[in-house]
Amino acid sequence: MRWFNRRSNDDFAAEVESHIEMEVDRLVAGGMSETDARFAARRAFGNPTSAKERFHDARFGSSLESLAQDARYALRGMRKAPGFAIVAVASLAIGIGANTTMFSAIDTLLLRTPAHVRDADRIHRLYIQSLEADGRTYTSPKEGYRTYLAIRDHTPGIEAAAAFDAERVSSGRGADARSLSAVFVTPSFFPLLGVRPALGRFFAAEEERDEGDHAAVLGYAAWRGQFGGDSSVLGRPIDVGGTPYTIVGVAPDGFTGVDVDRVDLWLPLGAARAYMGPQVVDPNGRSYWLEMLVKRRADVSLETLRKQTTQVYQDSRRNEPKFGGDFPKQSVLPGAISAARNPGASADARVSLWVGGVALLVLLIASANVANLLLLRGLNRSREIALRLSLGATRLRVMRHFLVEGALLALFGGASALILARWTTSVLHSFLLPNATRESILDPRLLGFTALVAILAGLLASILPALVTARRDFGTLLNGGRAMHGSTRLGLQRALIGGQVMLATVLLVGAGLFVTSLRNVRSIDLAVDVEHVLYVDAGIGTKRLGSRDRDARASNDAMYMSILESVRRLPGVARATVTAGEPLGSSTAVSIRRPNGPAPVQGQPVPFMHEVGTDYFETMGTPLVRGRYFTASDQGRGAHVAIIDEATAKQYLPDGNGLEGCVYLGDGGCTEIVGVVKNTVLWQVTGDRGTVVYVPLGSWDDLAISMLEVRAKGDPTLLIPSLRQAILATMPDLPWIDIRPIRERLAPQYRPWQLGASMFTAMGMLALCLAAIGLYGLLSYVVARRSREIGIRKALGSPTGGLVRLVVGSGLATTLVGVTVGIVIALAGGRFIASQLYGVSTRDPLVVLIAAGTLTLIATLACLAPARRAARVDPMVALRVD
Amino acid sequence: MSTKTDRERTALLQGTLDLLILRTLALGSHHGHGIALAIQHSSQGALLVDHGSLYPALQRLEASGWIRAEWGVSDNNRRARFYELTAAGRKQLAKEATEWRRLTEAVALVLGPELSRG
Repeated sequence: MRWFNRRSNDDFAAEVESHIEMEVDRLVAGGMSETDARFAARRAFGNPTSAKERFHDARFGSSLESLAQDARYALRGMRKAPGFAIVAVASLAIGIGANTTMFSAIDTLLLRTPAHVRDADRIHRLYIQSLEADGRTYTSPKEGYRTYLAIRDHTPGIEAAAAFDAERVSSGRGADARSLSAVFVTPSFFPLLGVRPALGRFFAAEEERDEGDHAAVLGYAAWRGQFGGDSSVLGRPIDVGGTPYTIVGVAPDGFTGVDVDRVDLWLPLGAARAYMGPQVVDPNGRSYWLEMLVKRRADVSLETLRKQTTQVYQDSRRNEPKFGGDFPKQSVLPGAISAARNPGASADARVSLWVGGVALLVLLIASANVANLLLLRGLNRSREIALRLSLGATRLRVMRHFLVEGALLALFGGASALILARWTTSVLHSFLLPNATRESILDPRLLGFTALVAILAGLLASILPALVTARRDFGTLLNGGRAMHGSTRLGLQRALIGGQVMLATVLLVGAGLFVTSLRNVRSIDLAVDVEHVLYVDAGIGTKRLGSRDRDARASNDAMYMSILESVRRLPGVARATVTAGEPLGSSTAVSIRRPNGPAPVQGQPVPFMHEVGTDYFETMGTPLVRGRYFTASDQGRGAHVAIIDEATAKQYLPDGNGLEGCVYLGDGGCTEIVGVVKNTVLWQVTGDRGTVVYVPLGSWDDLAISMLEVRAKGDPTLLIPSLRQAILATMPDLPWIDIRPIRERLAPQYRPWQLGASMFTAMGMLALCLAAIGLYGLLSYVVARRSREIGIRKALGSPTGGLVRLVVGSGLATTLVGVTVGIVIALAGGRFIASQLYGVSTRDPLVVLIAAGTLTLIATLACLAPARRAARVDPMVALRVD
Repeated sequence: MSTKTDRERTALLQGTLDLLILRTLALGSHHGHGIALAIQHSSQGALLVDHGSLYPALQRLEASGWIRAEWGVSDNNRRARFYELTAAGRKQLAKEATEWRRLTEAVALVLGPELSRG
């Protein structure tokens, strides 16, 4: 075909005219009158309009019109069979929507370059990788200011280096207090990323340590929200944790640095001193709190950069006064700019990828389902197709008709998917990326991806029916024959449904494994009442109190105690206590030994020491194993008592029940251990528990009270407003009070399993439904087609039960083959997800059994309705049909 | 969409008309009217070309790249579209002519002398 060489209709009409004129000339020359000649010429030509039409049909340009014709025809067909159209569109919407949803998460986490960042491929996050004594590697993104300076000043292969740390800060006081998400950055952060301010300026190099005038840069959304987008905002003050900062600039819209979470405020690195102490920007300080970015020079390879930064890092550690010695086992890994693509790969990102793969499977299932529907429809319309073929439609045209139908279904499916995905993406994002700035569903990348998936699904669904139908021999159909052979065996349809069942089995086994993992993780005894306890951080301790500042400490503690009193009086509060520092986390380390025991060896692991108020264990719900809890008389300086957890007792005080009369804690004197409690969770729900020694508040260190723990009688979230009110009534001038349930702190740790369990289950159920619909459709068709045969059987006395068995049996056979193959695949593929599971074997027989059982059950149900229809076939009616 | 009569007519002529057009053009370029007359003349009037079918056939051959066309002026000063054979068309003509001869010979053999009388 030469599409480019198209002739216009006018050109063709001119040729026809010229032909007729020539014929007239010829006839007139032969002696005919002009009128007669003209009439004869026209008659000889036949109908010029019909010739023009045929010209038109032969022309390729007409295919656009015939395409529209096909589309209209397909639409008419769908209107006539709304059930088919709805099931097909819904199948595709589910398949496409699942992919759109997962893509939006994967795109945000892994693919998208952070907004406004230029040369993202040359910007690397630095990770410190250490080889532990047990041979495991440990990767950390956090380093100290000293390392940052060394990397910045001594790495030849970089254009720039920057460091940052994201925290929440409080702004304002009392009822007006707000919590803002802030990022402490080096001034080099913005130029390194190539970002320009929307208004004003970013930080100057000398502002890094925040020692002069305090400068702050607003995030765009905060500027619009809190300052109404007023451009006179520059120079205005903003309170940050009690210190007035001057707004010097506004970051551009959507700029979130190199992470995905929304940022309200950008602060110079040194501003963090108010929160973490002066050592954070001290070159000799020992705070490992900064994430580092470098911009690689274009002519330097990643490998060179790795060597250079590792060298610089090791040199810097060697010269560090407090950490003399070599660190040959530590190296620097330059990673991608996206945090989710770190060398350890975040669990969320990995599970997202997994579920993304699962979404593709669901798309396959949905496409197979629609393909089946189209195939069956093709069979039902055999006579019509045969008629079209015999009337001169080419097989290509018939094929194209199927493709057009598939494309239309995909179009509707894609549109419905977008509507569906609007909702599902927001659910997924609020779960996976709660603080991320989210792209709209109309984001071009998402739309493009959805369109691509829709086209793929449409093609997948229609190519097979198109090929099969076009190849079929319709010869006998027009003569009133029934194409019994071939079309009742339906091998292809059975294979498609078997494939759907197989994929559904794989997904259900996956769902079972994740659900079991989640249940296992949830049932881990944390020895803490996670469901009822809240942390209350009144933010008074934001300016870290120097340990020797006794008066400040006393007034701080007094404030907390009066807050504690008011909180304890609230009706919804079961128990409340105070602690120095956050429980279930790190704190001061202290050695523990018996008076006659060996002196602690430097470098050996030692327990953490937590200073806790009375009622601490009762509030946290940590069970006592032996001895007693602290009492009110234990509080204060001079109370030489301690409570240890079981692990501490076992590890440091073996051969005893833990209740020792006298142990030495660190350099202190004799301390009596009065109780042994259960090991509580420490950072990681599934990780090592560590060892903890609890001492009464104020009896040991000079740490100030910094937190309240409150146990609610009911749902802790319902208690938050009244808690805030009660605290503000006692202390009206407090900065932002951070109140959050412990379960919220631990929630991110459950997320990978939750995500896996919910997504696999949702997708598995969808797959199951799709397979069941497919099976139902196929058997319904078979029963309808074979009603004559069934009628004959009945007339010959075949029992109804046998017929039901026949239909159900044929459906179940297909199902069982699919289930068996699915189980084999699930067992073989299990090892790929083994690392995402917890406490369950990938070959867990119960999981496999439940998956197989569910599928078989649902498949049987899907078979029953057609089987009953078969049983009800009236032989007299069936035999009279054609 | 084709109609039934259409289908019969093309069935009658489709293969042969293409061949006849190619053969006629092998002698030199011609416009549609001229082709129709030439076929009529060389078949000594036995083959009457349906003028209405001629142009779709020309169109088809042009689309296949076997002939190409250009507007020109006819002997009696009328504007007409002149067709000529392409190299591909020449090859196609040879192929189709051979096939046609083989077919007619075979059919003649099958028919035999006595049946052709009846």
